[in-house]
Amino acid sequence: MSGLVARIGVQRSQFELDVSIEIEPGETVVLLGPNGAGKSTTLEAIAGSQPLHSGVISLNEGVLDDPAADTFVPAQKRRIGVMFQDYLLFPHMTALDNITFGPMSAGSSRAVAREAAWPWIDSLDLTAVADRRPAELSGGQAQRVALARALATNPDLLLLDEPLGALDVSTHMATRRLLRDHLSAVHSPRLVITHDAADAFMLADRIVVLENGHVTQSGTPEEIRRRPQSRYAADLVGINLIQGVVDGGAIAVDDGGFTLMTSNRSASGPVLVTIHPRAVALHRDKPHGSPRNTWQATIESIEPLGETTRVQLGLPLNLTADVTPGAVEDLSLTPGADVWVAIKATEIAVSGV
Amino acid sequence: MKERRRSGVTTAAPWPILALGGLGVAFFALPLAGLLWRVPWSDLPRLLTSRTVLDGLRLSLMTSLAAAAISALVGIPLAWLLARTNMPGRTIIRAVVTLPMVLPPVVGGATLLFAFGKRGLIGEQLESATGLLLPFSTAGVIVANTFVALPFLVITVEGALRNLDPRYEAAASSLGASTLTVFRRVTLPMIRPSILSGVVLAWARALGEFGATITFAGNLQGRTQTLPLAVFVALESDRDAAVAMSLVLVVISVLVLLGLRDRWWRA
Repeated sequence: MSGLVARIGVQRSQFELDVSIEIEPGETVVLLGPNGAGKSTTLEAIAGSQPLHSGVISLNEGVLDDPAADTFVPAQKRRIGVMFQDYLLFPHMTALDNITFGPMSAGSSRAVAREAAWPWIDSLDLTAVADRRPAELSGGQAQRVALARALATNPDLLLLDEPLGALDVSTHMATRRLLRDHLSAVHSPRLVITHDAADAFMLADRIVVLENGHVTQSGTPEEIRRRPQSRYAADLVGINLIQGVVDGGAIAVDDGGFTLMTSNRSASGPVLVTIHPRAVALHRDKPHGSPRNTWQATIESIEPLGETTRVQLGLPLNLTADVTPGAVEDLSLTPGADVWVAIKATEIAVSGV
Repeated sequence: MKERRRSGVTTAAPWPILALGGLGVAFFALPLAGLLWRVPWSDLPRLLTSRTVLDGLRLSLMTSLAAAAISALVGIPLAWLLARTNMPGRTIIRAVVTLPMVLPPVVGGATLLFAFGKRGLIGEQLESATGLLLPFSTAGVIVANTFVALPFLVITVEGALRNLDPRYEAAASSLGASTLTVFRRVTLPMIRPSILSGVVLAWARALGEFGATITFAGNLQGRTQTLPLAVFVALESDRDAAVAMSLVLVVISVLVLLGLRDRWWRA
């Protein structure tokens, strides 16, 4: 098939990587995993800086690495565009010279390379900063220059290593949306590497979850959200993300229809609220004492996930709660039943949007 | 200087540190003062335009700049080989290359004679192949200068290459650049400040070269007698001329240090 077909085996002294990834042209696959799972090694193997010990990598039916057949195409001969973590823009070149570096290395004259670069500069909104050095660019601009530089060689595959990791929280969200739009305009297969679940779910057509060098799950974001197959995936998809407006520790959500209290009194304005599912406590009766947030809610569904049980709560606020299977029995939780929900103000994290 | 003003913190120096540091300053300032004190100011124009001085100055500038240029031409690739490849015997090569930094220059000059002298290892072959007889020639001065200057450039540039994040070079090759293109368009520009300070160090070492030059190239006025050699000779015969020539060397060095202070010391 055209696109990327990779079966990657790499052995290290303390670590074994065994990953299979297939990406069709025009598809974005996100490789999602915690630190040390083998994401970077996977990227290096595909990009050509880490030779395989076993397996095969082929791109558009051309073999890039096949140790059994003694085939290895070096990095600079692979038609792969990489957008590196921290971008690695050449600091001594202008944005434009960074973007034309690839085409000029392939033999284009400066004039031809610049001619070819302008459509990317235009579509990525970089016209005003084309003659600036990387040090004079904002985080979002640097990211777009890095994307333009990777795309300017017309690669058969686009690799993005933590494409949003270098951005501060306030630009992160807006840039993520832009990046998704830009990626959808690329015809090549795209592989994004990230440890950020929100980025993964926003950018992916398909997610491959990598843990300890092995794929633990692969599927559409919806499939993974519904049926996470590992503790790691369950934790990631269970995190409650709520938009609201905060003022003096009181967060108005759902257009003011509901109020959450946070211990963070310094934030104000529109925020993204994150609540870990294990921070959502459930009680049979109205709890006494310290929790600042208590209300009564209806249980929508109960789903066992091995060590924990995931409880979906309905109105007034859709929330996910993770409780122990023992608690489910003790509280005799059943779909349709009413429970008291309690969340400490310290467990309600807010970040600016 | 800017930094100190910004932080706005001034610490009163404890007296032992002040005393020892002051001793260090005096150690350099006194010889300089001694030189300035001995300068025959009124006679200076005549002394500086004498044949010996002009020949020595021309030779010194020409041979030291040539040595710095050759050091850059050979030393940068050599530093790259040492820093970026897994060449076998790298440790030994590095030791051999930096040996002239610790070797007495006279011994260095002698080893050059054993290699390139008339009866040296390859001296005869070199002469019949290129017609170049290095000992007691201006070319020999350049060879002696390069021999002592090159190590300074190699260790400066190798250090810079080791500090350069190799991911930039990996990024360049992923964009399809050949190893040579990566070297030329990414590596070299990114270590430019270190190359500059390495060249200046090498040039300064070559300008002050004495022992290897006099051993290998001799002391022929107009051909191999550089300013330091002329100063040494004049100390015996014409002390005023020696002082005038020393002043010239001091002025050149100070001017270069001042001219490069920003680029050099910031790097």
